[in-house]
Amino acid sequence: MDPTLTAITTIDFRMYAHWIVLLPMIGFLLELLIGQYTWRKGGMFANLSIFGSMVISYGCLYNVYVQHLGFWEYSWDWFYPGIVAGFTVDPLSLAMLCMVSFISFLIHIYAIGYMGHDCAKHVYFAETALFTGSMFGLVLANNLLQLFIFWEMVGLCSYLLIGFWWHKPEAAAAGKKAWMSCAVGDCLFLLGIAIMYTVMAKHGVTTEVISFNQIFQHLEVLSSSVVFGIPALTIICILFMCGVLGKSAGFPLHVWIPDAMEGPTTVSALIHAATMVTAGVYLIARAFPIFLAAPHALAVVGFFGAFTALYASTLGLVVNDLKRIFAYSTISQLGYMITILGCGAVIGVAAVALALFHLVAHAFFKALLFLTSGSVLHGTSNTRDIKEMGGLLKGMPWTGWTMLAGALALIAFPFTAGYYSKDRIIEEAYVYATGHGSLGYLPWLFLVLGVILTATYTFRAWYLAMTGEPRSYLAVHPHECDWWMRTPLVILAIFALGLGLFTKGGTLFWHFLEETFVTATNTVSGTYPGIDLHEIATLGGNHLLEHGHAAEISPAVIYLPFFLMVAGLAIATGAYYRNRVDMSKYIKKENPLYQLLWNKYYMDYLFKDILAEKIIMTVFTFWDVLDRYVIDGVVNLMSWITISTGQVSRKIQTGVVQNYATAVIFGVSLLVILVKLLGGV
Amino acid sequence: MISKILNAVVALLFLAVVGISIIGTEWVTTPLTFVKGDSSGIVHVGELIFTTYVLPFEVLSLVLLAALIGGIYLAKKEAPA
Amino acid sequence: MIPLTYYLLLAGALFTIGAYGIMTLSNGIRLLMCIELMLNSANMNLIAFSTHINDASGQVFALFSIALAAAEAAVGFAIILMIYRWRAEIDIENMNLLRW
Repeated sequence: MDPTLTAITTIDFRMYAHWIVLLPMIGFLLELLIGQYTWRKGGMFANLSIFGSMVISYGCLYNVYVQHLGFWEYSWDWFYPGIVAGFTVDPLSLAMLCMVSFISFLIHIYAIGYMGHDCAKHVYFAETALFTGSMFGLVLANNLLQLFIFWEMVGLCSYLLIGFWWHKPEAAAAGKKAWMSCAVGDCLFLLGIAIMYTVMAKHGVTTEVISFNQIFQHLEVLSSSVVFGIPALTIICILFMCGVLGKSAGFPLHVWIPDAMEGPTTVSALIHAATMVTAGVYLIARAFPIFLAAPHALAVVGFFGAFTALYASTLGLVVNDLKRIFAYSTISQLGYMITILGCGAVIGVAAVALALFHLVAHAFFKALLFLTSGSVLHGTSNTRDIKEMGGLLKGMPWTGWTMLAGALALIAFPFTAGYYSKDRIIEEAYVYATGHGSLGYLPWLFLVLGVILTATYTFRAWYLAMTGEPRSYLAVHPHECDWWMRTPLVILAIFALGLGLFTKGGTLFWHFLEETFVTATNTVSGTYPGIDLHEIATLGGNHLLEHGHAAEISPAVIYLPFFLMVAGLAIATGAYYRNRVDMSKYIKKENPLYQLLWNKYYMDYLFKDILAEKIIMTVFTFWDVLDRYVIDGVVNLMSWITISTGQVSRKIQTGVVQNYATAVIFGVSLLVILVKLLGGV
Repeated sequence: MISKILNAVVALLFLAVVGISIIGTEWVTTPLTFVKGDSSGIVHVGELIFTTYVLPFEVLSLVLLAALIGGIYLAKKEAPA
Repeated sequence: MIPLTYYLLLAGALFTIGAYGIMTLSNGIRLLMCIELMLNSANMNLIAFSTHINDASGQVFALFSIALAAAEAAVGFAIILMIYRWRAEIDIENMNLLRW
C-alpha cells in the first residue's frame, strides 16, 4: 500500500472532530473580512473550509465504520458545575455530518456559478459558511444547551440568508416571518431544556447535567418525576416537539417555509436539504430514548408528522411557483420522517435509522430539485411561475433531465433513493398501526394518501415546466447553466437515483444507524454503557417488537404505495402532459376546494389577520394606553417637578458680581461660625 | 437702599467673626532677633530672594511679562479696518 | 513691639472695608481698588506673622504678592478698558449677561 495512504489511515480523525465546527467559522471570518479581495471576489474560503470539514467528517466515518474504533465523546468544562461543551461521534451524528458536509459542499460549488454576479458575494458565502458550521455544531453537540445555541445560530443564519436580498420588501418580510415562526417553537424548546435541567438536578445529578448520554443513563429515575400532575418527561418531550415544529416546519408553524423562497435558490437548497429543517428531525432522533421513555410523547410526534405530510402535499397541488411546490414537498417529506420517528414506539431504534435514511435520501433529491429550479430561474431571467414556462427541456437539457431524476426520487419511483427510504417508512407505519387499534391507522392512511398527491404535484411541476410549448417570451430561449452549476447537478442526480442501490437497498445504512444508543460510547474518563431500549420503552408504556420479528404484512399493503404512486403519475401525465382533462374546469375561483387550497387553508389569514392584528393588537392597544398615561405620566411628572423648581431657583443666578461677592463673604462667615460652634480649630 | 443695609450687615458680620477669631486665639510668638548691621532685616530678605526663592522669583518675572503683554494687547486701540 | 493682635485686627478691618466696597460699589475701577485693599490686608498679615515668628520668608512673599497685584491690576484695567470701548460705560451691575 502507498505509504501516504497508510499514514492517512492511521490518523484518528475523531480527535479532530471539533475542527469540523471550527473550520467553517474560520471560513466565515476570513470570507467576511478579506473575501472580496480574493479569487472571484469571494467564495474561496467558504468552499475550502467546508471541504476541510467534509474530509474530517468522512475520516471519522472511516474510523468508526471501517476501522471499528468505537464511538467517541469529549467534553470540556464550560461554566457552572455540570454545564459542558463537547462533541459526540456516533453513527447518528456521522450520518448527518457526512450528508451535511457533502451536500453543503456541492451547493457551495454551485453557488460559485449561481451567485457569480452578485455584488455582495463575499457576504453570501460568509453567511452560508456560518450556516453550515452552525449545523455541524448542532449535530456534534453532546448536550442540550450547546445544541440549543447552535440551533439558534442556524435560525439566525436562515434569517440573514432568506432576507439576503433585503432591498426587496418581500424578502425582508420573509426573513422576519421565518425568524418569528421559529422563535415561537424555540422559546418552548428552551423551556423544555430548563425543565430537563431542573428535573435532572433534583435527582442529584451534578456532572454533565444536560448531556444526552447522561440523561439516557438516568431515564429510569426521571420517569418518576411529575410536573403539574403530568409526567415530567412527557412535558419535556412535548416542548421539544414544539421546537421541532418550528424548525422542521411542522403543521401549525410551517407558514414560514413557502415565503422563505424569496432568498437565493442556493439558500433554499441549503435550508431544505442540509442545514435547517433537518435539525428538527435530528433533535427527535438524538433525543429518541427520552421520547421513548415519555408516555404518549411519540404518539403526538407521529400524529403531527403524518398530518403535516398530508396537509402540505395538498397545498403543493395548486401552487404555481416552481420553488414553492418543492417547498411544500419538503414540509410533506419532513412529515414522513417525523411520523416514522413517532412509530419508534413500536419499532424502536429502527425508526431512527429509517428516518435518517429518508433524511439523507431527501437531502440529495431535494437539493437536486432546488438547484435545478435555481438553474431554471437563472436561465429564464427569474421566471418562477410554472404557467409561464413550458418546453424548457429543449433549451436546458442538463437541468431538465437531472430535475427528472430528482422528481422520480421524490415520488419514490422504483430503484431510486426515495423508493427504498419512503416505502419502507410507510410499511413500518402499517406495523405501528397494527399494534395501536383503529386510531393507529391514521398516520399510515395520511402517509399513503400523501404518496398519490406527491406524485401528482411533482410531475405537474415537471411537465408544466419542461414539456409542451413555451408559454412566455422568457421561456422561448432559456440558456443552460455553466459547468460550476452543472457538475453538482450531475453528482446529485447520481446519488438521487442510486443511493438506495449503493447501500444495498439501505440495509448497510440501517445496520450502521441501529448501533446508536445501544452501543457503548467512550469518553476520556470512562464509558457510557449502551442502553436497553426495551426497558426504556416500558417506562413510557410502549412495547417494542423484538428485532427481526416484524409482523406479517400482506403484499397488498407493501405494494400499495407503489400503485398509488403510479396512479398519481398517471393523473399528472393525463392532465398536464397529454392534456386529456381540461384543468381550468376545476381551477377557478368558484370552486370552494380550490379556494381553500389556494388560500393555504387560511393559515396565514388566521395568524396574521386574526391572531396578530385582532387579538394581539387589541392587547397592545390596552397596553399602549397604560404605557402612555400611567408609565409615561410618572416620568413626565418627575421632569415637570424638576423643570418648575429650576424655573424658580435659577433666579438666584443674577449675573451681578456684587451679589456673588456678598454670597461669598456671607458663606465664609457662616463657615467660620460653624467651625467655631463645632469646636474646631 | 435695602441691599446696602444688607451688605453692611454682612460686612459687619464678617468683621465680627474675624475679630472674635483673632482675639479669641492664643497666639504663640517668637520675638524677632536682630542681626548686627541689618537692623531692618532687608539684607536677609534680599539673600532669601536670590537663594531659596530664586525660582519663584524668576517665574514671577515671566508672569509680569505675560501680564504686560496681555495688558498691552487688550488695551491697544484696534487698527482701523 | 506692637502685639500681633493689633496687626491682625487692622488687616481684618481693611479686608472688611474692601469686601464692603465690592459688595456695594458698581464702578469697575472702584472695584479694582477694593480688590487692592483686600490684597494689601493679606500682605499685612504676611508681614505681621513674619515678624512675630522670626522668619523672613513672609516678607519675601509679601513682595511677590505686591508684584502679582501689579500684574492683576494691569490686566484688570485692560479688561475694563475693553468693556468701556464696547459699551461706553464701566458699570459692573449692567454686566449681567452670564445669568440664567
